[in-house]
Amino acid sequence: MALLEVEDLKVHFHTRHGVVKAVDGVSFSLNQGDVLGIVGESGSGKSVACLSLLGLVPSPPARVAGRALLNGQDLLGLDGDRLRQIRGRKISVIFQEPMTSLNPYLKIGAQLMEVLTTHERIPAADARSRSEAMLGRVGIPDPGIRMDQYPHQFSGGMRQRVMIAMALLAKPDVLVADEPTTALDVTIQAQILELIRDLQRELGMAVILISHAMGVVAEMSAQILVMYAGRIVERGAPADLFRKPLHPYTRALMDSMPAPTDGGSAAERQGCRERPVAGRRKRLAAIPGTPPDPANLPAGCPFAPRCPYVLDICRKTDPEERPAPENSGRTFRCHVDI
Amino acid sequence: MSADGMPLLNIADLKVHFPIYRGLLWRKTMGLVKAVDGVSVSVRRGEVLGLVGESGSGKSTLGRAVLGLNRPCGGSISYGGVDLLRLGKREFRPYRSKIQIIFQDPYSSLNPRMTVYDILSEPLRVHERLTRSEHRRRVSEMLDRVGLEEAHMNRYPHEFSGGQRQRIAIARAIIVRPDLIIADEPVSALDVSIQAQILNLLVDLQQSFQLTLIFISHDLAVVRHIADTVAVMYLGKIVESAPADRLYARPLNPYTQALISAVPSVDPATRARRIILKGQIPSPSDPPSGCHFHPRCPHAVDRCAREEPPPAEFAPGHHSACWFSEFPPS
Repeated sequence: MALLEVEDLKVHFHTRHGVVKAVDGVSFSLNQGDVLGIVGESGSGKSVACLSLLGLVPSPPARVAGRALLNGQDLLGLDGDRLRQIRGRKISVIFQEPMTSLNPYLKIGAQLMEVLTTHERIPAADARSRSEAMLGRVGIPDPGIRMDQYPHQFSGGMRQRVMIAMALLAKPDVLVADEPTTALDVTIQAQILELIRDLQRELGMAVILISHAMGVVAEMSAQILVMYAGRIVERGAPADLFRKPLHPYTRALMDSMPAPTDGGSAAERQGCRERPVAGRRKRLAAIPGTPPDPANLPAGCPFAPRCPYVLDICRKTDPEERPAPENSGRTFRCHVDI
Repeated sequence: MSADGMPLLNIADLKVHFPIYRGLLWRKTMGLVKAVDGVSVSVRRGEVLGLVGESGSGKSTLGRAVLGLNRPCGGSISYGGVDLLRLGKREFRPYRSKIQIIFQDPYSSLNPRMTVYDILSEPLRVHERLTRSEHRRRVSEMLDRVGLEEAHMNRYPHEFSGGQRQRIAIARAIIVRPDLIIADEPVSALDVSIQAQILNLLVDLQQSFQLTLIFISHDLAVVRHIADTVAVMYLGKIVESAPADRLYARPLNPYTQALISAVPSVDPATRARRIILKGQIPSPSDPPSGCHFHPRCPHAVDRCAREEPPPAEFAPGHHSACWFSEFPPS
């Protein structure tokens, strides 16, 4: 049985302007030790989906439906007390903003030890020594001294390490990393991603990595979910998605990214698109238009208005998720075989 | 892309230092943040210079110095042969319309209480004497040029998406027909699918107006796409500069090598061997001795801590400031 089984998760917000379907029928499962990546642009519902599992989306206004079974226990029906026992111990979160997710008034040590004392009956001295050890494990020099400092005395990368230490202290089964490196510089990003990967292997935990950056997700995960307008439009292994994207959105996303290394964009290398010759400064294959307003989704497929492969049927009926033709465990949600 | 002849902009040994004060009444200078510390770089007319570096490297401070938005304490910025730093306020005025800037955050760089028409016509009012109808014509022309509609003229910034706002900011910068644009992280705040639209727009405009562009970004992939020449900054200095293709294919400076290798890639085949740097960028108020990069450098030796390496030319147009950059075998 899977460690975490999410079935038909829906998070709808009822507002004056109509129903905002932030997450609309998302299903996935996660085994122990898996790394699952979720990519999508802002507003695609990737964060809301994961936060709703932890009861971190206030309801009302949100209406959360579906099932999310963690070791067979449905997280969505739990009350505050029960959720508190799960948060931090079974599932932990690392947020994007290491600047705002630490309490500026409390010493780092106190914030770390709180994780342990909340979940376990444990003497303060033990909590302190375990916290200190974890700070050292995430690569913070002089953890003994750092325990007695305040967040403002830490740099951005160091604060993110503190967040990771805090998330891992109670040895959770699942770590949700919500854009963990977006606020960080490239060289620090590389450090933090390596740290998460090392700890994931060492502790054997499952990780859900949420990011808007395809590169970050592709390097870390065994399986990727691509989200658009609150639904999963494609799922598959990173190498497969890269080699042959099945959904027009995934493909457009790959094509619109400038390549950091030689060889042009993904599409050019596959020979799908001829490489422009005039001038080195070629045009990127941009996706026209903007992501749809989640309160006012178009009829049919939400990507239809921006899709180069659009058919009449796309504007009428929303496609169902279907398996890839070659049957590789991949699925996508499109009427067209591109 | 004709980028030859005299440089339009020539920056020589530029220094921008910010004093750190302590005390309220009897302010004492406690130290100096050397945000830009001896930078020399030149940009030819019609060229796109990419300026990359991590936060705190001084890339934005350098861009702002060219616009006269901060006060350099040394060096020169020569624009078409005139040293901008020697000009008085009045004499500098004509250059303000020649040099324009696009900021990173389209949410805070547009006045929420001004309509698009007000935003775009303000630079015209300041810099050019035009009749009302000419104003309208120029504004609507420019809106069309950046992919917006005339009907948008009377709307306010909050009615637009991030990408559209950045189009407005771009229109505001080029409406006075400048020669030089400083684009400070112009696509960093945008979603991936919108980023490509704005980059394409910048490339189109740069080519059709023959603009000279200084493109500041932390994103190496974006810079590689748009720039002719790339300069890499670290702690207030340019550590390496070269034609874009060359810099990405054969980076000579260990910092550039680490920076390029750190970019996550979707393509498993091109995923380079990652060089993970230790530690973080040191404070510019207390930079390390010798080569500023030596505490994090995988190749550092004793000499690096003692002596600062001067920039040297290793191939035509390819400069690196490192004791160990090698002449590549031809």
